[in-house]
Amino acid sequence: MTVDWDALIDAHANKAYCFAMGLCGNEQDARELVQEAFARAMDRIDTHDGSLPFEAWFLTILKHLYLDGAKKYDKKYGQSIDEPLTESGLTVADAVADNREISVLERLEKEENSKLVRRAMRALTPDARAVLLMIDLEGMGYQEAAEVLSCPLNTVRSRIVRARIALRERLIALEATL
Amino acid sequence: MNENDERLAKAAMKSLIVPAPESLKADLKRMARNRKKEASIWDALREALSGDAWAYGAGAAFAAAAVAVVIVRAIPERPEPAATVAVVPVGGITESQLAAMWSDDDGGDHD
Repeated sequence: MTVDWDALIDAHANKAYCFAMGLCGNEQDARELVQEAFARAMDRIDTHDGSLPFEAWFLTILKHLYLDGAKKYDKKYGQSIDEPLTESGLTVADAVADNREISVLERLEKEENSKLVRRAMRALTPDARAVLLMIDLEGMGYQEAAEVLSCPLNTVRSRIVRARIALRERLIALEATL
Repeated sequence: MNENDERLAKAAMKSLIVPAPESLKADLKRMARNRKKEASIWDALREALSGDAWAYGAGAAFAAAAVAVVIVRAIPERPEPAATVAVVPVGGITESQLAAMWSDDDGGDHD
């Protein structure tokens, strides 16, 4: 099977790097992750049967590699995305869009603040980061994200809600420290 | 669901968009080329060893030759036969000695 890897690299390296940067939060790890993912993809290209587009298939590899390496980190710093965020659960957090959130939102929409966002992302679990990056950065649909994350559609729906809330809370908390 | 959460997340993610460094792309392309080279060496070897009819014949002939060489090398060399030397009594043979060599055996039962 002849694959034009140069073309695939040109077409997907940027998205892969963005995704890896979002997951890892630093350039060096993101670079290593992308290289490792491409190496794995080159080894296993014969198993790509076309049921998923190349990009989704590749991001699945990248996400698995990241999660394999991030388990320790997740245990040490993270909280599972499928557990309640607070004792009161989602209802309060979900319903309240307070002024602080509007202020962060307006600021982010006016000017990008990658440092702040990266710091906030670091506080999220790998699963939360992955779902945010797939849906809100890569623009994947829920179904495609479910395939890449190898989980049911409803899990993706609940994960993205929780991940967005967690991100909002972290951003607000970080804004307060500025 | 809070719609602002979605807007906030999208705005936040937008700020994470960064292009991949050119050096990374170059590294990836180099890696792809190197892997292609390695793969072609292995493919060539695999092809050479693949089961074409002539390859089986050539392989069998080669194996037979190799076995023959091994067997020939395993057989120990036969030792040279010792040279035969005529034993001559010291001092020559006397007439009486020659006579004593004869017996009077005529084949009869009383000898």
